[in-house]
Amino acid sequence: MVATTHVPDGFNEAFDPLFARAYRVARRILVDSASAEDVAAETMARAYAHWGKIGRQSWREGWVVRVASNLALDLVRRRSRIVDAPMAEDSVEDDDVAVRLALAEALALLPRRQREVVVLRHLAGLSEAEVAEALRVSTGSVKTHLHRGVAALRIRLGPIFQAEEVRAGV
Amino acid sequence: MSDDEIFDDAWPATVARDEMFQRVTARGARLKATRRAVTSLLMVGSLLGAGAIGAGAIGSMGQPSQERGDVPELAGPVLRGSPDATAVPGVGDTIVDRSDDPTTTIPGGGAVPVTTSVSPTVPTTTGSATTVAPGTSTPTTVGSGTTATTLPSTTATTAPQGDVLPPGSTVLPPSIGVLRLSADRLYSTGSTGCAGADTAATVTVSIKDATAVFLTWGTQPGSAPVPMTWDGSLWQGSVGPFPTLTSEQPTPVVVVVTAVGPGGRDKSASTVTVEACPRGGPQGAGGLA
Repeated sequence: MVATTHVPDGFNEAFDPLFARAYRVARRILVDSASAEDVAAETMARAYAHWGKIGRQSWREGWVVRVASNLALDLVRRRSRIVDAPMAEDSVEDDDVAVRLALAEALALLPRRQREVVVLRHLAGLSEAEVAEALRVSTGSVKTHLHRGVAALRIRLGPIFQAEEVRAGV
Repeated sequence: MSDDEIFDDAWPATVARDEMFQRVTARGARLKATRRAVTSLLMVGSLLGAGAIGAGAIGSMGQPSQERGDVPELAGPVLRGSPDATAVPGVGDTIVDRSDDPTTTIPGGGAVPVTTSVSPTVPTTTGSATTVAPGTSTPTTVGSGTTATTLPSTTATTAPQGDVLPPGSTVLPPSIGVLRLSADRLYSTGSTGCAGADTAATVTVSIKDATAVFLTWGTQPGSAPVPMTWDGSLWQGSVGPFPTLTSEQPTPVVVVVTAVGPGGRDKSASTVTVEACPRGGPQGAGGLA
């Protein structure tokens, strides 16, 4: 017997661009493409479950990005507790991974709103207005949380953050 | 990865699009069903005032299976304060929705403290029957639920004259025995020459469950009720005298005893013959003329 799942209206059409967006945001945080794929899949599954509420909303893309980033940060945090993988010396790729992990951990320590604003603005590449729409807050609030969040990251990451700032355009 | 790549909508995953779509919709359908179940349980719990969430519901959530291609270790509520995510929530635990979903339906910011432990066992009632006083309310166990059943307000007959009965007592109406009259023939007082003849009769009767007994007799006009007295074994009263009868013929008079008790009232009747004194004196009176 083949189980059939009723796909809500509009989900099939929106699936590809939303999945791609979730994947790429997760990839920025996780580096690992396989994990990013898993996070994007989980994000879209949650979008499917809530499609009745978010499907017709203008902020649905922001919603997807936010969920994907939170899932990715959660995964990083969980991995950092369990795995202490040895890294090869003088490896540019491993350095990049280390920076990403450090950034992800620092992001995870931020208050929720600051973290979301920083992720959406700098990792997902949304404008301040888009971030405000996605989070359903004012642009002034976005600016405030962004300023505080970035300041906190600078303090926590120090030199690592300088390099990441250049890379991410912070 | 550049910002331009972020906005690239090309299919990025190594898994084929259709296969990923199937995985996502299957997982999404399960999440949706789980969310509904959690919402229902929380509603029931809030109604019960205890947050009655079973272990099965918690344990089944957020446990994706690798065989079906689910994302591992990501979704689902967990119990904060409990080392085992599948444990039955107890007092002091907090049920947390780990989902970052902003549309979460769990109130209080996604965390619900458990304040009362809920036993999954179904209470059973054993033992003998219990007598319950009228007007009281007693719980009645039916299956797995409990329903309060209110008994009728009263099952006893209300006693007259403000008497208060103990609960559960049975009150019967008075029971009147055979009326006995000291004479079955009386002479009216208006007749002459009947000195010493019976103009009144004593009525004795055995009555059970009576608090008051009255005697009446039916002449024209009828008598007023005359109280009978209790002599320790019988009720007794007096019938007569009778005024001058309008008829010279012996007249039967109905004597009625009415007994009143906590259970009601009862009546019993007998007759006595009243007649004018004959010229030759009453029969058997010894020639009193």
